[in-house]
Amino acid sequence: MIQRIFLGGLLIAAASAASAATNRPDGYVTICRIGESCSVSTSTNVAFGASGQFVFKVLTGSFNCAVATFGSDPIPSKSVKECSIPEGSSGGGGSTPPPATGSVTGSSCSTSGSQTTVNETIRVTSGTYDGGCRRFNAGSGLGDGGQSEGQDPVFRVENGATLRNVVIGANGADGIHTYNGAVLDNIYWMNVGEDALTIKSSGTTTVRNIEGYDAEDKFFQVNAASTLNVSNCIIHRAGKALRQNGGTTFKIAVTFDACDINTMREGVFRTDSSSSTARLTNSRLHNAGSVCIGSWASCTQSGNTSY
Amino acid sequence: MNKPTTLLAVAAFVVTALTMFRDSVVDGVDDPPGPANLSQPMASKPLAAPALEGPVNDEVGKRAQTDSGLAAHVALKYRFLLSELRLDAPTSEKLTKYLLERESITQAAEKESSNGDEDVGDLLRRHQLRLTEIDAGVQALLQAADQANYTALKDSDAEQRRLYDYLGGIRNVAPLDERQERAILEAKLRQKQRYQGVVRDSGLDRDVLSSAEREYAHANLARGLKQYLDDFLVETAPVLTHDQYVLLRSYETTEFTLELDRLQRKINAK
Repeated sequence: MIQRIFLGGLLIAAASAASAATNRPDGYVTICRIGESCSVSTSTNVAFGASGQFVFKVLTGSFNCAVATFGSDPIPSKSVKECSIPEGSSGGGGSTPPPATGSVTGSSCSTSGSQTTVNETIRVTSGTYDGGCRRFNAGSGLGDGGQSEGQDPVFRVENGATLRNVVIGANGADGIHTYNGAVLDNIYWMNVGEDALTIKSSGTTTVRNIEGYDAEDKFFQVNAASTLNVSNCIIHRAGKALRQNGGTTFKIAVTFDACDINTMREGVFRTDSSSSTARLTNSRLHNAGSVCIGSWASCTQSGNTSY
Repeated sequence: MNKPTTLLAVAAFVVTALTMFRDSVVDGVDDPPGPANLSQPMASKPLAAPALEGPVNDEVGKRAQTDSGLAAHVALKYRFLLSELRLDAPTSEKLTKYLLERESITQAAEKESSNGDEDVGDLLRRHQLRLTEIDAGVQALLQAADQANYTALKDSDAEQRRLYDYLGGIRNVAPLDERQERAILEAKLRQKQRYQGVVRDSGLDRDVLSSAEREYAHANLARGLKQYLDDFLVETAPVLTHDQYVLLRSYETTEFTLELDRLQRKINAK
Protein backbone atom coordinates (compact mmCIF):
# COMPACT_ATOMS: atom_id res chain seq x y z
CA MET A 1 0.00 0.00 0.00
CA ILE A 2 2.79 2.37 0.93
CA GLN A 3 4.50 1.56 -2.32
CA ARG A 4 1.32 2.24 -4.24
CA ILE A 5 0.75 5.55 -2.54
CA PHE A 6 4.35 6.52 -3.17
CA LEU A 7 4.12 5.58 -6.82
CA GLY A 8 0.83 7.42 -7.14
CA GLY A 9 2.38 10.44 -5.52
CA LEU A 10 5.31 10.38 -7.91
CA LEU A 11 2.95 10.21 -10.84
CA ILE A 12 0.96 13.11 -9.49
CA ALA A 13 4.06 15.17 -8.85
CA ALA A 14 5.49 14.41 -12.26
CA ALA A 15 2.25 15.21 -13.94
CA SER A 16 1.89 18.44 -12.06
CA ALA A 17 5.28 19.57 -13.22
CA ALA A 18 4.26 19.07 -16.81
CA SER A 19 0.93 20.80 -16.75
CA ALA A 20 -0.59 24.16 -16.15
CA ALA A 21 -3.43 22.77 -14.09
CA THR A 22 -5.79 22.11 -16.93
CA ASN A 23 -7.69 18.89 -17.41
CA ARG A 24 -4.96 17.53 -19.66
CA PRO A 25 -1.15 17.61 -19.51
CA ASP A 26 0.70 20.00 -21.75
CA GLY A 27 0.88 18.65 -25.27
CA TYR A 28 -2.10 16.38 -24.76
CA VAL A 29 -5.56 16.57 -26.32
CA THR A 30 -8.75 15.36 -24.71
CA ILE A 31 -10.50 12.46 -26.40
CA CYS A 32 -13.29 11.78 -23.92
CA ARG A 33 -14.58 12.50 -20.45
CA ILE A 34 -15.17 10.33 -17.41
CA GLY A 35 -18.02 7.90 -17.92
CA GLU A 36 -17.50 7.74 -21.67
CA SER A 37 -15.83 5.03 -23.69
CA CYS A 38 -13.04 5.95 -26.07
CA SER A 39 -10.34 4.26 -28.08
CA VAL A 40 -6.75 4.57 -29.27
CA SER A 41 -5.56 2.79 -32.39
CA THR A 42 -2.06 1.96 -31.15
CA SER A 43 -0.36 1.64 -27.74
CA THR A 44 -0.71 5.13 -26.31
CA ASN A 45 0.23 6.71 -23.00
CA VAL A 46 -3.22 7.94 -21.94
CA ALA A 47 -3.60 10.54 -19.21
CA PHE A 48 -6.59 10.56 -16.87
CA GLY A 49 -7.36 13.38 -14.48
CA ALA A 50 -8.20 17.02 -14.01
CA SER A 51 -6.81 20.26 -12.62
CA GLY A 52 -3.19 19.37 -13.22
CA GLN A 53 -3.38 15.97 -11.51
CA PHE A 54 -3.06 12.88 -13.67
CA VAL A 55 -2.35 9.20 -13.75
CA PHE A 56 -1.10 7.56 -16.92
CA LYS A 57 -1.54 4.17 -18.49
CA VAL A 58 -0.47 2.71 -21.81
CA LEU A 59 -3.63 1.48 -23.52
CA THR A 60 -4.68 0.03 -26.86
CA GLY A 61 -8.14 -0.20 -28.38
CA SER A 62 -11.37 0.68 -26.59
CA PHE A 63 -11.47 1.53 -22.92
CA ASN A 64 -13.67 3.25 -20.41
CA CYS A 65 -12.53 6.63 -19.21
CA ALA A 66 -12.87 5.64 -15.56
CA VAL A 67 -10.96 5.23 -12.34
CA ALA A 68 -11.19 1.46 -12.69
CA THR A 69 -9.27 1.58 -15.97
CA PHE A 70 -6.39 3.55 -14.53
CA GLY A 71 -6.30 1.94 -11.10
CA SER A 72 -6.44 5.11 -9.02
CA ASP A 73 -8.13 8.46 -8.86
CA PRO A 74 -5.60 11.28 -9.19
CA ILE A 75 -7.99 13.89 -7.80
CA PRO A 76 -11.05 12.49 -6.03
CA SER A 77 -12.38 15.93 -5.28
CA LYS A 78 -12.99 16.60 -8.98
CA SER A 79 -15.98 14.85 -10.44
CA VAL A 80 -15.28 15.83 -14.04
CA LYS A 81 -12.08 14.26 -15.37
CA GLU A 82 -10.77 13.79 -18.88
CA CYS A 83 -8.88 11.16 -20.79
CA SER A 84 -6.28 12.67 -23.07
CA ILE A 85 -3.53 11.51 -25.40
CA PRO A 86 -0.37 13.14 -26.79
CA GLU A 87 -1.04 15.49 -29.69
CA GLY A 88 -0.61 13.67 -32.97
CA SER A 89 -1.74 10.33 -31.53
CA SER A 90 -4.72 8.65 -33.02
CA GLY A 91 -7.74 8.26 -30.82
CA GLY A 92 -11.31 9.19 -30.30
CA GLY A 93 -14.31 8.54 -28.18
CA GLY A 94 -17.13 10.11 -26.37
CA SER A 95 -19.50 7.39 -27.49
CA THR A 96 -21.63 7.69 -24.36
CA PRO A 97 -23.06 11.14 -23.91
CA PRO A 98 -22.40 12.70 -20.53
CA PRO A 99 -25.37 13.17 -18.21
CA ALA A 100 -27.62 15.97 -19.37
CA THR A 101 -27.49 17.63 -15.99
CA GLY A 102 -24.99 17.45 -13.20
CA SER A 103 -22.20 14.95 -13.07
CA VAL A 104 -22.92 11.48 -11.77
CA THR A 105 -19.73 9.67 -10.94
CA GLY A 106 -20.64 7.70 -7.82
CA SER A 107 -17.83 6.56 -5.59
CA SER A 108 -14.18 6.92 -6.54
CA CYS A 109 -13.26 3.85 -4.48
CA SER A 110 -12.41 0.73 -6.42
CA THR A 111 -13.28 -2.71 -5.13
CA SER A 112 -9.73 -3.98 -5.30
CA GLY A 113 -8.50 -2.53 -2.03
CA SER A 114 -7.32 -4.69 0.85
CA GLN A 115 -10.04 -6.44 2.81
CA THR A 116 -10.86 -6.30 6.50
CA THR A 117 -13.32 -8.73 8.06
CA VAL A 118 -15.62 -6.96 10.50
CA ASN A 119 -16.87 -9.19 13.31
CA GLU A 120 -18.14 -6.39 15.51
CA THR A 121 -19.92 -3.26 14.30
CA ILE A 122 -17.52 -0.33 13.97
CA ARG A 123 -18.95 2.65 15.84
CA VAL A 124 -18.06 6.14 14.68
CA THR A 125 -19.34 8.45 17.39
CA SER A 126 -17.50 11.67 16.56
CA GLY A 127 -14.95 13.05 14.15
CA THR A 128 -14.12 11.32 10.88
CA TYR A 129 -13.38 7.67 10.16
CA ASP A 130 -11.54 7.36 6.86
CA GLY A 131 -11.43 3.81 5.54
CA GLY A 132 -8.91 4.58 2.78
CA CYS A 133 -11.18 2.74 0.30
CA ARG A 134 -10.42 -0.60 1.96
CA ARG A 135 -13.09 -3.29 1.74
CA PHE A 136 -14.97 -3.92 4.97
CA ASN A 137 -16.59 -7.32 4.69
CA ALA A 138 -19.03 -8.47 7.36
CA GLY A 139 -18.06 -11.56 9.31
CA SER A 140 -20.74 -14.18 9.97
CA GLY A 141 -21.37 -12.69 13.42
CA LEU A 142 -22.98 -9.64 11.84
CA GLY A 143 -25.14 -11.56 9.38
CA ASP A 144 -25.00 -13.39 6.09
CA GLY A 145 -25.77 -10.42 3.87
CA GLY A 146 -29.10 -11.92 2.81
CA GLN A 147 -32.56 -10.46 3.34
CA SER A 148 -33.17 -11.75 6.85
CA GLU A 149 -34.09 -9.06 9.36
CA GLY A 150 -32.04 -8.40 12.46
CA GLN A 151 -28.58 -8.41 10.93
CA ASP A 152 -26.06 -6.03 12.44
CA PRO A 153 -24.48 -3.18 10.52
CA VAL A 154 -20.85 -3.03 9.47
CA PHE A 155 -20.71 0.63 10.56
CA ARG A 156 -22.80 2.62 13.00
CA VAL A 157 -22.31 6.38 12.56
CA GLU A 158 -23.65 8.74 15.20
CA ASN A 159 -24.07 12.35 16.25
CA GLY A 160 -23.04 13.99 12.99
CA ALA A 161 -19.81 12.03 12.67
CA THR A 162 -18.35 11.36 9.23
CA LEU A 163 -17.63 8.04 7.54
CA ARG A 164 -15.71 8.30 4.28
CA ASN A 165 -13.81 6.26 1.71
CA VAL A 166 -15.24 2.87 2.52
CA VAL A 167 -16.12 -0.16 0.43
CA ILE A 168 -18.72 -2.45 2.00
CA GLY A 169 -17.72 -5.90 0.79
CA ALA A 170 -19.56 -8.86 -0.69
CA ASN A 171 -21.18 -9.63 2.65
CA GLY A 172 -22.81 -6.31 3.42
CA ALA A 173 -24.84 -7.57 6.43
CA ASP A 174 -27.06 -4.60 7.35
CA GLY A 175 -24.74 -2.03 5.83
CA ILE A 176 -24.53 1.26 7.70
CA HIS A 177 -26.80 2.58 10.47
CA THR A 178 -26.99 6.25 11.41
CA TYR A 179 -28.14 7.75 14.69
CA ASN A 180 -28.74 11.47 15.33
CA GLY A 181 -27.43 12.43 11.92
CA ALA A 182 -24.28 11.55 10.02
CA VAL A 183 -22.20 12.35 6.96
CA LEU A 184 -21.33 9.54 4.55
CA ASP A 185 -18.91 10.41 1.78
CA ASN A 186 -17.52 8.17 -0.95
CA ILE A 187 -19.03 4.83 0.00
CA TYR A 188 -19.27 1.79 -2.30
CA TRP A 189 -21.55 -1.17 -1.55
CA MET A 190 -20.44 -4.15 -3.62
CA ASN A 191 -23.48 -6.26 -2.80
CA VAL A 192 -26.06 -4.70 -0.52
CA GLY A 193 -27.26 -7.06 2.19
CA GLU A 194 -30.39 -6.40 4.21
CA ASP A 195 -30.20 -2.65 3.40
CA ALA A 196 -27.37 -0.34 2.35
CA LEU A 197 -28.17 2.38 4.87
CA THR A 198 -30.72 2.60 7.67
CA ILE A 199 -31.56 5.80 9.51
CA LYS A 200 -32.28 4.63 13.03
CA SER A 201 -32.98 7.89 14.84
CA SER A 202 -33.74 11.51 14.09
CA GLY A 203 -31.23 13.90 12.62
CA THR A 204 -29.88 14.97 9.25
CA THR A 205 -27.98 12.38 7.27
CA THR A 206 -25.93 13.68 4.35
CA VAL A 207 -24.82 11.15 1.76
CA ARG A 208 -22.63 11.99 -1.22
CA ASN A 209 -20.48 10.27 -3.80
CA ILE A 210 -21.86 6.80 -3.30
CA GLU A 211 -22.43 3.72 -5.39
CA GLY A 212 -24.16 0.44 -4.60
CA TYR A 213 -25.35 -2.73 -6.23
CA ASP A 214 -27.96 -5.43 -5.83
CA ALA A 215 -30.17 -4.38 -2.98
CA GLU A 216 -32.81 -7.08 -3.19
CA ASP A 217 -35.32 -4.93 -1.35
CA LYS A 218 -34.49 -1.37 -0.23
CA PHE A 219 -31.30 0.62 -0.62
CA PHE A 220 -32.11 3.32 1.95
CA GLN A 221 -34.39 2.46 4.88
CA VAL A 222 -35.69 5.28 7.09
CA ASN A 223 -36.94 4.31 10.53
CA ALA A 224 -37.18 7.71 12.22
CA ALA A 225 -38.37 11.24 11.53
CA SER A 226 -35.35 12.69 9.81
CA THR A 227 -33.82 14.47 6.85
CA LEU A 228 -31.83 12.61 4.20
CA ASN A 229 -29.90 14.51 1.53
CA VAL A 230 -28.23 12.40 -1.14
CA SER A 231 -26.06 13.71 -3.97
CA ASN A 232 -24.00 12.05 -6.67
CA CYS A 233 -25.23 8.53 -6.23
CA ILE A 234 -25.39 5.45 -8.39
CA ILE A 235 -27.89 2.79 -7.38
CA HIS A 236 -27.90 -0.29 -9.55
CA ARG A 237 -30.52 -2.97 -9.18
CA ALA A 238 -32.78 -2.76 -6.15
CA GLY A 239 -36.38 -3.14 -5.15
CA LYS A 240 -36.64 0.53 -4.18
CA ALA A 241 -34.09 3.28 -3.75
CA LEU A 242 -35.74 4.40 -0.52
CA ARG A 243 -38.39 3.12 1.83
CA GLN A 244 -39.83 4.81 4.89
CA ASN A 245 -40.52 2.12 7.46
CA GLY A 246 -43.82 0.49 6.53
CA GLY A 247 -46.92 1.74 8.37
CA THR A 248 -45.18 4.68 10.04
CA THR A 249 -46.59 8.19 9.85
CA PHE A 250 -43.75 10.37 11.07
CA LYS A 251 -42.31 12.94 8.69
CA ILE A 252 -39.18 12.42 6.65
CA ALA A 253 -37.69 14.89 4.15
CA VAL A 254 -35.65 13.35 1.36
CA THR A 255 -33.72 14.86 -1.52
CA PHE A 256 -31.75 13.03 -4.19
CA ASP A 257 -29.66 15.14 -6.57
CA ALA A 258 -27.42 14.02 -9.44
CA CYS A 259 -28.09 10.33 -9.14
CA ASP A 260 -28.12 7.44 -11.59
CA ILE A 261 -30.88 5.07 -10.58
CA ASN A 262 -31.33 2.02 -12.69
CA THR A 263 -33.15 -1.27 -12.66
CA MET A 264 -35.52 -0.79 -9.75
CA ARG A 265 -37.99 -3.61 -9.38
CA GLU A 266 -40.60 -1.32 -7.85
CA GLY A 267 -39.55 2.32 -7.92
CA VAL A 268 -37.56 5.12 -6.31
CA PHE A 269 -39.31 6.56 -3.21
CA ARG A 270 -41.93 4.77 -1.13
CA THR A 271 -43.76 5.83 2.02
CA ASP A 272 -46.98 5.27 3.91
CA SER A 273 -46.76 8.67 5.60
CA SER A 274 -48.79 11.57 4.27
CA SER A 275 -46.51 14.07 5.99
CA SER A 276 -43.26 13.05 4.29
CA THR A 277 -41.63 14.80 1.34
CA ALA A 278 -39.26 13.69 -1.41
CA ARG A 279 -37.53 15.39 -4.32
CA LEU A 280 -35.46 13.94 -7.16
CA THR A 281 -33.41 16.34 -9.30
CA ASN A 282 -30.81 16.35 -12.06
CA SER A 283 -30.70 12.58 -12.24
CA ARG A 284 -30.58 9.82 -14.80
CA LEU A 285 -33.14 7.05 -14.66
CA HIS A 286 -33.18 3.70 -16.40
CA ASN A 287 -35.90 1.13 -15.73
CA ALA A 288 -36.45 2.92 -12.45
CA GLY A 289 -40.19 2.22 -12.08
CA SER A 290 -42.39 4.78 -10.38
CA VAL A 291 -40.57 7.68 -8.79
CA CYS A 292 -43.20 8.28 -6.11
CA ILE A 293 -45.00 5.40 -4.48
CA GLY A 294 -47.41 5.87 -1.59
CA SER A 295 -49.01 8.80 0.13
CA TRP A 296 -46.29 11.48 0.07
CA ALA A 297 -47.28 14.97 1.18
CA SER A 298 -45.05 16.13 -1.62
CA CYS A 299 -43.00 14.14 -4.10
CA THR A 300 -41.48 16.18 -6.92
CA GLN A 301 -38.82 15.94 -9.58
CA SER A 302 -37.04 18.19 -12.05
CA GLY A 303 -34.14 18.08 -14.45
CA ASN A 304 -34.19 14.29 -14.72
CA THR A 305 -33.57 12.31 -17.87
CA SER A 306 -34.27 8.74 -18.88
CA TYR A 307 -31.81 6.58 -20.77
CA MET B 1 9.07 31.97 38.07
CA ASN B 2 12.34 30.82 39.60
CA LYS B 3 10.56 29.19 42.46
CA PRO B 4 9.77 25.64 41.33
CA THR B 5 6.23 25.61 42.56
CA THR B 6 3.59 23.73 40.63
CA LEU B 7 1.32 25.99 38.70
CA LEU B 8 -1.82 25.17 40.63
CA ALA B 9 -3.88 27.92 39.13
CA VAL B 10 -3.13 26.90 35.55
CA ALA B 11 -3.66 23.26 36.42
CA ALA B 12 -6.99 24.15 37.94
CA PHE B 13 -7.91 26.06 34.85
CA VAL B 14 -7.04 23.12 32.65
CA VAL B 15 -8.89 20.67 34.87
CA THR B 16 -11.96 22.87 34.97
CA ALA B 17 -12.02 23.22 31.22
CA LEU B 18 -11.38 19.57 30.55
CA THR B 19 -13.97 18.54 33.11
CA MET B 20 -16.44 20.74 31.32
CA PHE B 21 -15.56 19.03 28.05
CA ARG B 22 -15.85 15.60 29.63
CA ASP B 23 -19.22 16.42 31.15
CA SER B 24 -20.54 17.65 27.84
CA VAL B 25 -19.41 14.39 26.24
CA VAL B 26 -21.36 12.44 28.84
CA ASP B 27 -24.43 14.66 28.93
CA GLY B 28 -24.84 15.84 25.38
CA VAL B 29 -25.58 14.27 22.08
CA ASP B 30 -22.87 16.17 20.28
CA ASP B 31 -19.36 15.11 21.10
CA PRO B 32 -17.00 18.08 21.09
CA PRO B 33 -13.85 17.65 19.07
CA GLY B 34 -11.62 16.64 21.92
CA PRO B 35 -8.96 14.08 22.65
CA ALA B 36 -9.91 10.49 23.18
CA ASN B 37 -8.97 10.43 26.84
CA LEU B 38 -10.47 13.63 28.12
CA SER B 39 -11.81 11.86 31.15
CA GLN B 40 -8.33 11.37 32.52
CA PRO B 41 -7.76 14.05 35.15
CA MET B 42 -4.66 16.22 34.88
CA ALA B 43 -4.57 16.92 38.61
CA SER B 44 -5.71 15.02 41.65
CA LYS B 45 -8.68 17.25 42.40
CA PRO B 46 -10.50 19.99 40.55
CA LEU B 47 -9.75 23.51 41.70
CA ALA B 48 -11.34 26.85 41.11
CA ALA B 49 -10.38 28.76 37.99
CA PRO B 50 -7.98 31.64 38.52
CA ALA B 51 -9.31 35.13 39.13
CA LEU B 52 -8.93 37.37 36.13
CA GLU B 53 -8.70 40.84 37.67
CA GLY B 54 -5.85 43.14 36.72
CA PRO B 55 -6.58 43.08 33.04
CA VAL B 56 -4.09 42.67 30.27
CA ASN B 57 -7.13 43.71 28.29
CA ASP B 58 -10.34 44.57 30.15
CA GLU B 59 -12.75 43.43 27.48
CA VAL B 60 -11.03 40.10 27.02
CA GLY B 61 -10.77 39.65 30.76
CA LYS B 62 -14.51 40.10 31.06
CA ARG B 63 -15.19 37.78 28.18
CA ALA B 64 -12.91 35.11 29.61
CA GLN B 65 -14.80 35.14 32.88
CA THR B 66 -18.10 34.59 31.15
CA ASP B 67 -17.07 32.63 28.08
CA SER B 68 -16.39 29.12 29.25
CA GLY B 69 -16.05 28.00 25.65
CA LEU B 70 -13.04 30.27 25.16
CA ALA B 71 -11.44 29.05 28.39
CA ALA B 72 -11.99 25.45 27.37
CA HIS B 73 -10.51 26.17 23.96
CA VAL B 74 -7.39 27.67 25.51
CA ALA B 75 -7.04 24.76 27.91
CA LEU B 76 -7.30 22.26 25.11
CA LYS B 77 -5.14 24.05 22.59
CA TYR B 78 -2.28 24.69 24.97
CA ARG B 79 -2.64 21.58 27.13
CA PHE B 80 0.77 20.19 26.14
CA LEU B 81 2.31 23.47 27.27
CA LEU B 82 0.21 24.17 30.37
CA SER B 83 0.59 20.70 31.80
CA GLU B 84 4.35 21.11 31.98
CA LEU B 85 4.70 24.62 33.32
CA ARG B 86 6.01 25.36 36.78
CA LEU B 87 5.09 28.97 37.41
CA ASP B 88 4.11 30.93 40.48
CA ALA B 89 0.51 32.07 40.80
CA PRO B 90 0.82 35.70 39.60
CA THR B 91 2.82 34.62 36.56
CA SER B 92 0.35 31.92 35.69
CA GLU B 93 -2.53 34.35 35.91
CA LYS B 94 -0.77 36.73 33.60
CA LEU B 95 -0.10 33.91 31.17
CA THR B 96 -3.72 32.82 31.26
CA LYS B 97 -4.89 36.31 30.42
CA TYR B 98 -2.48 36.59 27.52
CA LEU B 99 -3.63 33.26 26.11
CA LEU B 100 -7.28 34.14 26.48
CA GLU B 101 -6.77 37.44 24.71
CA ARG B 102 -4.80 35.84 21.91
CA GLU B 103 -7.42 33.20 21.29
CA SER B 104 -10.19 35.74 21.55
CA ILE B 105 -8.61 37.75 18.74
CA THR B 106 -8.03 34.63 16.66
CA GLN B 107 -11.57 33.38 17.10
CA ALA B 108 -12.98 36.78 16.26
CA ALA B 109 -10.95 36.77 13.04
CA GLU B 110 -12.20 33.28 12.17
CA LYS B 111 -15.76 34.35 12.81
CA GLU B 112 -15.36 37.42 10.63
CA SER B 113 -13.72 35.34 7.96
CA SER B 114 -16.63 32.89 7.88
CA ASN B 115 -19.01 35.82 7.34
CA GLY B 116 -17.13 37.43 4.47
CA ASP B 117 -14.58 37.13 1.74
CA GLU B 118 -11.50 38.06 3.72
CA ASP B 119 -9.49 35.12 4.95
CA VAL B 120 -8.28 34.54 8.49
CA GLY B 121 -4.69 35.37 7.59
CA ASP B 122 -5.61 38.82 6.31
CA LEU B 123 -7.76 39.55 9.33
CA LEU B 124 -5.06 38.45 11.72
CA ARG B 125 -2.53 40.67 9.98
CA ARG B 126 -4.71 43.61 10.97
CA HIS B 127 -4.37 42.54 14.58
CA GLN B 128 -0.68 41.81 14.18
CA LEU B 129 0.56 44.56 16.46
CA ARG B 130 -1.42 43.33 19.44
CA LEU B 131 -0.63 39.69 18.68
CA THR B 132 3.07 40.55 18.58
CA GLU B 133 2.78 42.26 21.95
CA ILE B 134 0.97 39.27 23.41
CA ASP B 135 3.53 36.83 22.03
CA ALA B 136 6.35 38.90 23.49
CA GLY B 137 4.53 39.02 26.82
CA VAL B 138 4.04 35.26 26.86
CA GLN B 139 7.64 34.53 25.86
CA ALA B 140 8.87 36.70 28.70
CA LEU B 141 7.03 34.49 31.16
CA LEU B 142 8.41 31.22 29.81
CA GLN B 143 11.70 29.41 29.85
CA ALA B 144 13.45 28.55 26.58
CA ALA B 145 12.01 25.06 26.07
CA ASP B 146 8.51 26.27 26.80
CA GLN B 147 8.95 29.23 24.45
CA ALA B 148 9.53 26.86 21.53
CA ASN B 149 6.51 24.85 22.58
CA TYR B 150 4.38 27.98 22.67
CA THR B 151 5.62 29.13 19.28
CA ALA B 152 4.60 25.82 17.75
CA LEU B 153 1.20 25.68 19.44
CA LYS B 154 -0.01 29.23 18.98
CA ASP B 155 -0.75 28.80 15.26
CA SER B 156 -1.81 25.18 15.41
CA ASP B 157 -5.61 25.49 15.24
CA ALA B 158 -6.00 23.83 11.87
CA GLU B 159 -3.64 21.01 12.78
CA GLN B 160 -5.36 20.43 16.12
CA ARG B 161 -8.78 20.42 14.49
CA ARG B 162 -7.58 17.72 12.13
CA LEU B 163 -6.00 15.78 14.95
CA TYR B 164 -9.23 15.73 16.95
CA ASP B 165 -11.28 14.89 13.88
CA TYR B 166 -9.05 11.85 13.33
CA LEU B 167 -9.03 10.93 17.04
CA GLY B 168 -12.81 11.16 17.25
CA GLY B 169 -13.26 8.90 14.26
CA ILE B 170 -11.17 6.07 15.64
CA ARG B 171 -11.82 6.44 19.37
CA ASN B 172 -13.97 3.29 19.47
CA VAL B 173 -11.62 1.27 17.33
CA ALA B 174 -8.03 2.15 18.14
CA PRO B 175 -7.91 5.00 20.67
CA LEU B 176 -4.67 6.88 21.19
CA ASP B 177 -3.16 7.74 24.51
CA GLU B 178 -1.96 11.24 25.34
CA ARG B 179 1.64 10.44 24.51
CA GLN B 180 0.63 9.33 21.02
CA GLU B 181 -1.61 12.36 20.50
CA ARG B 182 1.22 14.63 21.41
CA ALA B 183 3.67 12.83 19.17
CA ILE B 184 1.32 13.19 16.20
CA LEU B 185 0.69 16.88 16.82
CA GLU B 186 4.36 17.68 17.31
CA ALA B 187 5.34 15.79 14.17
CA LYS B 188 2.69 17.62 12.19
CA LEU B 189 3.84 21.02 13.45
CA ARG B 190 7.49 20.25 12.73
CA GLN B 191 6.75 19.22 9.15
CA LYS B 192 4.39 22.14 8.69
CA GLN B 193 7.23 24.51 9.51
CA ARG B 194 9.27 23.08 6.63
CA TYR B 195 6.29 23.13 4.29
CA GLN B 196 5.61 26.79 4.99
CA GLY B 197 8.86 27.58 3.18
CA VAL B 198 7.45 25.87 0.09
CA VAL B 199 4.26 27.92 0.31
CA ARG B 200 6.25 31.16 0.58
CA ASP B 201 8.32 30.14 -2.43
CA SER B 202 5.22 29.43 -4.54
CA GLY B 203 4.00 33.00 -4.83
CA LEU B 204 0.59 32.44 -3.26
CA ASP B 205 0.79 35.81 -1.55
CA ARG B 206 0.81 37.58 -4.93
CA ASP B 207 -2.36 38.75 -6.66
CA VAL B 208 -1.36 37.71 -10.15
CA LEU B 209 0.81 34.90 -11.47
CA SER B 210 1.99 34.40 -15.03
CA SER B 211 1.31 31.12 -16.76
CA ALA B 212 4.85 29.93 -16.04
CA GLU B 213 4.60 31.03 -12.43
CA ARG B 214 1.33 29.17 -12.04
CA GLU B 215 2.89 26.08 -13.50
CA TYR B 216 5.79 26.41 -11.08
CA ALA B 217 3.43 26.93 -8.15
CA HIS B 218 1.38 23.86 -9.05
CA ALA B 219 4.42 21.63 -9.30
CA ASN B 220 6.15 23.10 -6.26
CA LEU B 221 3.12 22.81 -3.99
CA ALA B 222 2.24 19.30 -5.17
CA ARG B 223 5.80 18.21 -4.43
CA GLY B 224 5.92 20.10 -1.15
CA LEU B 225 2.64 18.70 0.11
CA LYS B 226 3.64 15.18 -0.79
CA GLN B 227 6.90 15.62 1.09
CA TYR B 228 5.01 17.08 4.06
CA LEU B 229 2.67 14.07 4.17
CA ASP B 230 5.40 11.48 3.64
CA ASP B 231 7.70 12.92 6.29
CA PHE B 232 4.84 13.27 8.75
CA LEU B 233 3.81 9.65 8.29
CA VAL B 234 7.37 8.38 8.58
CA GLU B 235 7.76 10.28 11.82
CA THR B 236 4.50 9.05 13.36
CA ALA B 237 4.63 5.40 12.31
CA PRO B 238 6.90 4.26 15.16
CA VAL B 239 4.60 5.59 17.90
CA LEU B 240 1.36 4.12 16.54
CA THR B 241 -0.10 0.64 16.34
CA HIS B 242 -0.67 -0.82 12.90
CA ASP B 243 -4.41 0.00 12.96
CA GLN B 244 -3.84 3.52 14.23
CA TYR B 245 -1.25 4.14 11.55
CA VAL B 246 -3.35 2.76 8.69
CA LEU B 247 -6.28 4.93 9.74
CA LEU B 248 -4.06 8.00 10.14
CA ARG B 249 -2.56 7.45 6.70
CA SER B 250 -6.03 7.12 5.14
CA TYR B 251 -7.31 10.19 6.93
CA GLU B 252 -4.33 12.40 6.15
CA THR B 253 -4.06 11.25 2.53
CA THR B 254 -7.63 12.46 1.98
CA GLU B 255 -6.99 15.73 3.82
CA PHE B 256 -3.81 16.45 1.87
CA THR B 257 -5.61 15.70 -1.40
CA LEU B 258 -8.31 18.18 -0.45
CA GLU B 259 -5.69 20.74 0.50
CA LEU B 260 -3.92 20.30 -2.84
CA ASP B 261 -7.22 20.81 -4.59
CA ARG B 262 -7.84 23.98 -2.57
CA LEU B 263 -4.40 25.32 -3.43
CA GLN B 264 -4.83 24.49 -7.10
CA ARG B 265 -8.01 26.51 -7.21
CA LYS B 266 -6.27 29.35 -5.44
CA ILE B 267 -3.40 29.28 -7.93
CA ASN B 268 -5.74 29.09 -10.92
CA ALA B 269 -7.59 32.16 -9.66
CA LYS B 270 -4.43 34.28 -9.83
